[in-house]
This record gives sequence, C-alpha cells and structure tokens, in this order.
Amino acid sequence: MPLLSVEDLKTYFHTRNGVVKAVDGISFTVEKGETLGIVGESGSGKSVTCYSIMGLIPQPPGRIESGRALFDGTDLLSCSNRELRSIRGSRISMIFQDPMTSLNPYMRISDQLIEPLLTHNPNATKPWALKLAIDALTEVGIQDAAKRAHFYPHEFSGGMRQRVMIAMALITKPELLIADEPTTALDVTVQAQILELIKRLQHELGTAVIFITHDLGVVAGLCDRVQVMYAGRIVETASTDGVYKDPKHPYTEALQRSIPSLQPKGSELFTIPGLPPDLSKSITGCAFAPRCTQALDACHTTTCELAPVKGEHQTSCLRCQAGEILQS
Amino acid sequence: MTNHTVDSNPPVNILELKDVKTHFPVYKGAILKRLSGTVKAVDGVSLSVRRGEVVGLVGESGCGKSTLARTILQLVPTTSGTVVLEGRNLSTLNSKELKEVRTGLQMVFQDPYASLNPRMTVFDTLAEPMIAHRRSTRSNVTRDVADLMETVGLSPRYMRKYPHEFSGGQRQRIAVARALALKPSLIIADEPVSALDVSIQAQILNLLAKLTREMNLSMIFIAHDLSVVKHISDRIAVMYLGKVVEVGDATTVIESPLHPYTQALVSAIPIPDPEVERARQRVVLPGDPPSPLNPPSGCTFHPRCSHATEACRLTVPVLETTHEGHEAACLRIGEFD
Repeated sequence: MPLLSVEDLKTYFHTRNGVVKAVDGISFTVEKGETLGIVGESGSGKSVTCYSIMGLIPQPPGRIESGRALFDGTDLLSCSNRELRSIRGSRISMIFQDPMTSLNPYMRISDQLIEPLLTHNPNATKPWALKLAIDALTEVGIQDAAKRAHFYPHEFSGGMRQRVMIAMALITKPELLIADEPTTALDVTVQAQILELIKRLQHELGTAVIFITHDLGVVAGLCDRVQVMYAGRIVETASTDGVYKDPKHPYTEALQRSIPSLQPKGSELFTIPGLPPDLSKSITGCAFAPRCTQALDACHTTTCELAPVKGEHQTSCLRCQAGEILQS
Repeated sequence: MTNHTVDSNPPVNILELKDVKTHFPVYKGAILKRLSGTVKAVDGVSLSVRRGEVVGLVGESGCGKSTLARTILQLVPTTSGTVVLEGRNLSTLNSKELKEVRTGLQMVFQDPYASLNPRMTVFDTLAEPMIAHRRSTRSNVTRDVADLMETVGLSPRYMRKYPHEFSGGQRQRIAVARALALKPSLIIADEPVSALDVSIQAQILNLLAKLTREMNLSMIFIAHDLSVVKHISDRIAVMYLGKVVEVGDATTVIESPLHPYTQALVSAIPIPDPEVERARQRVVLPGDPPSPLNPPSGCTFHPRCSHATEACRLTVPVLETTHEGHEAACLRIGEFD
C-alpha cells in the first residue's frame, strides 16, 4: 500500500474573475521512502496540490471540489481538524520556499523547534525537547548549536534558516516530507549543501519526500520519480531516467530543450511559443495543444487522460500514446 | 547604431574599471553616531568590457555584483579608483555631464513586476526617455516607440496598455526596450532572467543575445545561475566578497576553472541529467560567505577553501594571468587539480 495516495484531486479558486481551476483532477501515489519530484512552471498547480494535501488552502476563495488524499488509511481531505492536526506537523511535515518569511521573527529558534514536539507528545518535557532540538540543529550542520538555538531568526543567514526549517520539519521523524521549492531562494553553493542534507537525512530516516521545483537540474540529482504538471494537470509521470532520457510529452521535451546548460554555447535556445492557458477559462482538449508544435486537430478537441505508454511511464499526450511522436 | 564617441578611432575597451572600491561606512549609536566599521562591498575591482562583448558577472548574494553595477552607473559614489566609459572618467563628472553620459549606459533590472511604473502605459515608459533626451520629437515618437517594441518582439498594438496587463516575460521585454530607447553602448543587466520561468527565460536570453549581436551592444550580465551566464557571455568574471577572483573566456572559466571558489561554484550547478548527477563528486563548500564588514585576513576565501595553507591566511592574492586572458587570484594556482 502506498504511503500517500491522491485520487482525482480538484482544487478551484472562486474569484471575482471566475473559477480558476488551479488543480484539475490529478491522481498520484507516493511510496514509503521514495522521492517524488513535481516539476512545472509557475501557475501549473504544483504548490496548490501540496497545500491541498496539507489543508493549507485558504477557504474561501479556494475550495477542494473533489478527491481524496489517503495517508496511511486516513483521508486528509475529509478527516476532522483534530485528526488532521495529529498528522500534520508530526507524520507529514513541510518545508517552504522562503526561509526568510517562514520562521516566526518573534520566537527564538529553540522555541520554534520544540513546538511540534510539545504539541504532538503530551508527555514531552521542555528540557527533553530542547536536547532533541539541539541534536537536530547539530545534525543539519549548525555549529555551536547549544548556544545558537537561543538566537532569533534574524541572526541567521538564509542558508542557516533553511537548515533550521529542515531541522524543524524532521524533528518529529515524519513519514512524509513535502518540500516546496526549498532551494529556490538560495545561492547555488548553499543549494548544494541543502540538497545533500535532504538526501542524507532521507536516507537515514527513511522519509518519503515530495520535492516541488521548477529546476530540472535539481530533480535529476535527487528524485526517484518525476511528475510534470501543466495547467493544473499531470501531463507525464515516470522514473527520473525515463523523463530525462526518453520524454513522452512534447511539453517535457520542450522544457528540457530550453535549459541553457544542455545546449551548445551560443546556439539559439528553444522557446515554447505562446503562454500558459488562463485557468479561469474552460479548456477543451489538451491544455498544451495551442503551444505544441506537433498538435493535430484532434489534440484541440479530444480530452486527454494519463495513460501508460511504456511500463510505469505515463503520458497524457494523445500522439505519444498512439506512438506517433517521441518514439524511443 | 549611433556612435557617441567624438573620437574617430574609438578605443577597443568601452568600459574600463581600475581598482574600483566602493565602501559603505557603518555607524553605531542612536544620537552620537560613531563610525564602527566599513562594509567593503566592492574592494579593488579592475575589469574591462570591449565593444560588442558580453561579460558575465557571477557570485553569491552579497559578493558585491549589484554594488559594482551601481558603481558603474555612478548611482553610488566610488570610494577610490576610476570608472572610464568611452574615454570619460565618470567619477569626475558633474551631474549634468553624468546625465548625458548615462544615456549610453542603461540598466535592466531583475524584477519586471517592480521595475516598471504601474501607472505608465508602455508608450509613456518608452517615450519618456526619448523625449527627455531629445532623441525623438512629439510628432515622431509614436513611430519610434512602435519600432522599439518591434525590436524586442512586442506588437505595437499593446502600446497603450499598462504593465499589469502583460506577463512576466513580456514585461521584461518592455524593460529591455526601455534600456534600448536611447541607443546605449553598454547595458547592465542585473539578474534579468532569475524571476522568470524556464521557457520564458529562454525567450529573454535569445532576445538579449540577438540584440547584442545585431546592435553591437556591450553588456554586463549579472546572474547567479552559471549555466545561463555561460550561455550568453563571451567572458566571465567571478566575484567573491567584493573582489574578482577569476576572469577569462566563458567556456574556459566554466570548463577548466582555476580558482577553488569557481570550482566549487561550477560543481554546485545541478545538471539536468540523472546519470551525470549520480556519477559526479560534488565539492560542497562549508559554511556561508563571511560578512564583508569583517572579512577574513589574506585570501578572503581561505576559511572555506579545502586547499588553503598558512600562506593563504596571510597573503592577499592578486589576479595573475595564466593562459591567454585567463586570470585567477589564488596563491596555489596549478598546485592542485
């Protein structure tokens, strides 16, 4: 049984300008100890997916229209707040993008770190929790942790704050960690440190990770499986090797062709014509069809669903499913 | 392309920085302010940009890349050293002369959501500099703005629209158009693509590459993403704590870096290929960059460097040329791989 199984999740935002279908019917699973990468451009619904699972969507304007998110048998979307609170922060935790704003500036690092321990364990004592917190800080590579634990967030640099976030997320030894672009705001050298840290801790604790990013390079080094999102839907899902070596969706292929490091220097970069669709308008057919160079008439009219093409490799592209394009 | 130099034989180097230092004093105390230190944001940078050349400037946040850009534009005063643009020393000019010189020196900023005035239409934004500097007349300005918009790949139909009606990529095109309005000879682009999505980033990079080629523009391209910088630049300068630690041909610097800091930077770039990623050994730099308020002695990189010796702690290394045009500031060049 998978650790997390999301089925037909739909999260819509009811705004003054109509209903924005931010996540429109996606299903996926996360196995124990696995790393799943969710890749997509801004507005593709990758963050909304995870916020929905964590019950962090502001309602209104957001509304979860349908779907289930089974975590170890409990449906996170329909369970009581009490049940959700007992899981969130203890068995599932989250790291956010911006370490500058996700820590409480008025609380000492130590108080923030021990909060999940005290909340989720009625027998916990403060000295015990503090000791764990200092161990956790040492574990994520903060030197002189016993002293620094009592600092305030502003006394830490960006990289150190993100380490604190990681320590806080992992202090309860969760089974699932959701990392929402945890390195986007950081420098490359610090990013490398943080990625190594997540990899190592995941290996030691056996935590499953959902890693949200727009950086295909980061995914390549970290994830077992990748799913690519476009306009609120999953367009392709496969093993990391499958997605990089043998993409089965024109969008994935186009994304890879537009990264500078893969191109010979000085050559013109491939660009995807047009813009992502307006999610408040209803989309018929494949959402990518208007920008796709290989779209046929059928792509604009036929609704496409994820279907396997090669083993575990699934794509929503009709032409790939028919074996017409991107043949390996 | 208008040539602003009076000289019939223009110098090869369009911009020359000689030992430029920009220091900021730090004061302590609420009432009786006392000088408590100096932040050496830019600390002795010498760099030149040739006509038509793209120079990439890379480094971590806080290394002084943006301060250097602002110093070149004279938005902050230089503490010492000279900034020479097309034969004129900018630090000695008065404000009237500066205004004129700055027409040849334009900037594209990181965030196209913040750098465009939300209350001005595209037309207003692009026409303002042309009118102010008398590069266009009231009767011609509509046509000039339309031409400019076409140059950057925007349809002149959108001339009367406001920035909020455009996407991020289109806004960055407007920002590029604004920089081109006065036909500058040098553009400074400060992280122009880091706020954009991958597919949009590619469009803007292609546009900048095309413009520099076709208009023989020089550009200083500041970014922290090395693969982007490598793609667009002819030469790359790597900065660490206010100093240039390595400079050379773009491909050479990325493929065979000499300075341990550049090596670490290159090794930190994630490569979008799972096989390569699994196989590679990463040099992970320990710690964070030190505070420029209190930089380490000797080579400022020595506390994080795995090759550092006692000498590195004491001696400040200077840029030394190894091969043709490839320079690095490290005492131990060639002593390690």
